[in-house]
Formats: sequence, C-alpha cells, structure tokens
Amino acid sequence: MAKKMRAGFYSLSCCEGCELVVFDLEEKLLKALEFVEIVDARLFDGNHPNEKLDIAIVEGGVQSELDKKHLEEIRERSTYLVAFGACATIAGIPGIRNSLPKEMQAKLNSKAIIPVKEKVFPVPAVVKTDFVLQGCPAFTHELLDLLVALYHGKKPVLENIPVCKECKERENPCLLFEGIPCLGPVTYAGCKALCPTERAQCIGCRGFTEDANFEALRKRFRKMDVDERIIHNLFTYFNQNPFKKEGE
Amino acid sequence: MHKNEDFCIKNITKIEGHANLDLKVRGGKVDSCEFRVTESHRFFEDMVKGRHFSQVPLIVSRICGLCSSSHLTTATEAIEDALQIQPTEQAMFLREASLFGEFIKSHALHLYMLVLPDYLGKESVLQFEGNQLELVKDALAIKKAGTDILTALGGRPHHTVNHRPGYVTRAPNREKVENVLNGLRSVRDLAAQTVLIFDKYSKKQTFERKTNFVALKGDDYPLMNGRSIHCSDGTVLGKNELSKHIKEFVVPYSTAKNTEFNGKDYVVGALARIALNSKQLHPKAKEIMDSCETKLPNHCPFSTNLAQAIELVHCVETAIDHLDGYEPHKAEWPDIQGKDGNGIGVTEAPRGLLYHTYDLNADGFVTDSNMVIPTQQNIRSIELDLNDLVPTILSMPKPKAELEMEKLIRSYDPCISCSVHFLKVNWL
Repeated sequence: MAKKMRAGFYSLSCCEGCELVVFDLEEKLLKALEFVEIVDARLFDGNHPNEKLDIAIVEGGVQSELDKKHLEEIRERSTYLVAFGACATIAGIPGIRNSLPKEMQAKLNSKAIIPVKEKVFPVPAVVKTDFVLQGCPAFTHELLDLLVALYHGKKPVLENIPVCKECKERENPCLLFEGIPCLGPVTYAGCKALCPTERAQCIGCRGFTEDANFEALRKRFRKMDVDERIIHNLFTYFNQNPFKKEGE
Repeated sequence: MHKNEDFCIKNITKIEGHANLDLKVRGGKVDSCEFRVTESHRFFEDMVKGRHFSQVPLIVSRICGLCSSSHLTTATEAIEDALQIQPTEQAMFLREASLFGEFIKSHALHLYMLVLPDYLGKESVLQFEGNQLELVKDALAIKKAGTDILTALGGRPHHTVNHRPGYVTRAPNREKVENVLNGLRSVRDLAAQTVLIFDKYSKKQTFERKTNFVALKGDDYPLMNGRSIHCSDGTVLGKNELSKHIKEFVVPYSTAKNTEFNGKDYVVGALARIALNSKQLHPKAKEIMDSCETKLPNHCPFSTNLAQAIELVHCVETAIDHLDGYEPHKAEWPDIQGKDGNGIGVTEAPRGLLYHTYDLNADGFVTDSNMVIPTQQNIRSIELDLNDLVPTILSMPKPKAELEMEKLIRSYDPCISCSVHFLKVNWL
C-alpha cells in the first residue's frame, strides 16, 4: 500500500461550513483516515504550522493581507492545493462586497480594524491552485473522489456541464416555466440539481460554466417580468457580476 | 502571590474561527485580558443592503456553517415580521424541526470533537485510540441523526435550501421523515450517555463567577419565534424592546463587537436557557438533569458543556415527539409582495440568543439591518471569567495553565465567524 497522504485543512475568511461538511462523511471519514493523515487542522486539531503537506484543502476567500500571507505560506509547503467551496473558488457570498457601490466599499474598508483588501479574492486569484471543488457548502463526495484519485496517482476530470443537465436527469419540472428565475442554465453541475429538486431556484453557488450565455438568460428573466434589481441580485449572489463593464 | 506572567495564545484551536488571547498577570492578578478576534470583518449587514427580502435568509445563512439554520430562521422571522405575514403551518413545523436538527449537530460536534479531547488529555480527536475511538463513532452517529433531519427537511445538512419567508418550497414525504425518526430513536441512549460523560467532568470544576443569564422564554423550551426575552436580573422584554437593553460596543483590539445587557456583562447559550427554562425541558431531559451530580443551573462556565449535553437529550426527544406527528400537506406557494416596514426576529441559536432586524423599502428591498449574535454577547463574560480564573491557576506549569484558559474559552463554544459579521460604521 502506498504511503498515507498528508493533508491539512485551512480556513480563510468564511463560515467554516465547508470544513464541517467533512464530518458528514461519517463512516466514510473513518475509512478515509486509513489513507489520509490529517496533520494540520485548527478547527479540530492543534496548530502545526510547519508541516509539509501532500494536499492542502483551503476554504474561505482572501479578505485581508493576513489571509493572503496565510494562503501563500500554505501554498509554499503543499504539493497540491485545493480550493474547497464557493468562498475559495469564486469568492462566494463574501464576494457580494465586490458588487457593492464603490463609495460604500471605500467606507467599509476605512472602518476595518484588520485592514481588508479592496475586494474579496478567491483562492485561484492569489496562488496557483491545482483543483477547485465547487459549492456552498462544498460537496463531500467530490472531496472523497479527489482524495481517492490522488492516492492512486490519478487526477479527476471535472465536466463543464450546467445544472440543467442533471436537473433533467432527475425529471424535475423546469422552474423557468413556472416563472421562477433560476441560474441552472449557467451554473456548473455536480450538485445533482439539489436546489431545483427542492423547487428552489439555483443561485449559482457552483460558479458559472465556461460557455454560459448570460445574455440569453437575462432576456428570458426579463420576459418573465422579473424586476431588474432581482436579476442583478441573482447574478451577484455567489459570483461576480457578469455584466460588469471593465473598470466599473 | 508573587507572579508576573504574560500569556499569549495564538490561533486558539478547536473553536470556530480565528482568535487569540493576550493576558497579562502582574502581582498575581490579571492586569489585562484581551480576547482578540482576528477574523476579518465580514460585512454581512452591508451586503444584504439592496437585496430582495426573498434572498436575505439564504445570504445570512452563510454567516455560520455551524448554526446556519438559526440565522436562516431568524432572518425569515424578521422578514415575515416586516411584511406582516403569517408563515404556513407547514413552514413553522419544518423550521422548528430543523432547529432541533441543528442543535443536535452543533452540540454533538462541539462536545465530542472540540471539548472532549481536553478532558481525555489528547490534542485532538485525531489522536483518540482504543476505546476512545468508540466515542468518535458515537459522536458521528448523534451528529448524523441531527443532519439527517436537516437533509430530509431542508435538502442538505448545512445551508437549508427550501425555506422562504412565508412558506417552504418543498416539504418531505412521510417516508423520509420515518427514516429520520428511526435515526433519532437509535441515538437516544448515546445522547443520554453524553450527559453522563460531561457530568463526570463538570462536577470536578469548582470555579464560579456570578453573572446574568439572558434567554428566550415561553410555554415550551423556546428555540424560535421569540416573543418574550428574560434576564435572570428579573427583566422581561418583548422583542421590540430588546435593542434598548442590549448595548453593543467596540473594543479596539478585536474585530468582534462586545455587548452589555442593562449595563452589565451577561451570558447566553445552553446554561442560560437551562437556568431560565429548566421546567420546560422534555421530561426525559429533566429526569436525566435531576439525576446528575452537578446541579444545574450554576454559575460555573464549564457547566455549559453539561447543559449542552442535556439539551442534546431534550432535542432528540422533542424532535421524535414533534416529527412523529408530521403529516405532509400539499405545499402552498403564496405570492408574497414586498412592502415597507421594519421587522425583528429573535431565536435561540445553539450558542444563545440571536437577533436580526431588517428595514425594507416599498418594493421589499433591504435598506438597513442589524444582527446581534451569541458569541459577541459572551465575549465580555469570557474575559471576566478569565480575570477570576487565572489567579487561581498560576501555580500550574504554564502550558497547563494555558490549557485551562483554552478549556474555559472552548466551554463557551465561541463561534468567531458569526461574531465578525458586522462592521460598526459609527466607529469610535
């Protein structure tokens, strides 16, 4: 049997929900510990800031210089770095700050005790990132798949398909036909269309697909008479505003 | 005593979020004690501005991974209050059940994964061996019973997807709930075992510091739909009066605001709830509480863990009674229009009293908001407890004394991500 992989869990600015989902692996967690050794995790272990890692699993986004330094230091001692969950992959909910009016942002930044950066940055915008695992919170089965693949010296392939595909596979009625604005057509699948299956609109927590046709979806929302402000709210839930012009 | 000593505990482990403790002892007394929250500001109160009311609960749910349902429920209630609408019975039923699930999840993880290692002399749960591994399995089983409620009722274990102001987008079928019930019934004994474990550790703790308790009060053991807030100093308040009694203030060394109630430090959370509502506990929880050697309520902060264990029994038993009566109805999807108004929601989160308020404009978009969360209310008490505790443990070797301080901090189950949700704009 190959050597156990040395893993660390890290939180930047976030709710730490993605680190908690690891406990949802339940009995699989104990199985995973047979081939993964957790050597550094502040949430449920001591601090071991000098450990070399095969894989660093990072949740949260970069809000401050402190976060940035911490992230760079983690990168330095890790073979692979995984951005885990929406805050880390696409700036997520904290990234809403990036879409606030400029004056408001400046006001917020000037009041902070720990100086915050002008914007919230996702992990891949700051350091080289080997894998991104999407979702708010992140999905444990994807983490497990990744760990198993790496243990066997393989790299998993992430498909570029939208939530709609998985939603159709589950035979859900389309929410757009019911007048509910849904981001399924432009959002990465992999969640098995969890929200639309609960008849709740997709809010884009897994990030936008590479070939997303925002304009078409926006037209569709307008045809459904959705308030412009709600459309803006939706597109900036978890993601940067795709309609933002350069320099805005 | 003689002693001068500086304690600086960086990145306190096994708590949710980032915090340091700086404590100076001069002449055997605590000269300064600063619980420094070092997590970045998170600006939630500003991020919800301009958002449509229907999206707010899903945003504030992300304040905390451990108590997302509490934030979701509190925001939902506040918005319903602002819009002056009554949620469907189904929505109320499912919300309450979800909170039981959240308490079970949160308490089980905190007690077994974060607190127990201290008492077993291990750095972390990862170092458990032999029989101790059974405790990890037990913890995961209890946690699963809780997260199974959330998954069946809300789509997933964290950040519920189907709750909306006024209604739920989807309700589970009876079969799903049967599975949840089976899970809950299978962990009854484990929940009771948790009380015995923490009674054993609590009875050894002699440290006490008198302070006031603040919690919701009602006919049952109220976790949501807060109408009446009680303080052990005798104050009884409606939710509209709460903001007059809780004063928030900024300390220069921390990114979390602190609070006072009626001008004094106070404690919220499991110990406060039990102090004010012990008669309303589920009979099985009451029975096991009465059989404990540690008598609750007391003023020992370490007893918070025992109180959480008793709540674990309460929530498992009450969730069983509650869900046993579940009958799925056809979901209603009312068309809810925005209107201007101000709304307040008060609930009990696993860590204590949680307060959200929102102002909406005529179209239902948020113009202002405020949130007071449990951990920021407890920070002042953590510091005052340390002031009293530290002089009594100075004869210990430094690492051991530091561990005792960390134990005290962990007993409060602080949730740092929550406490830095804010940014005070009118800043000192």
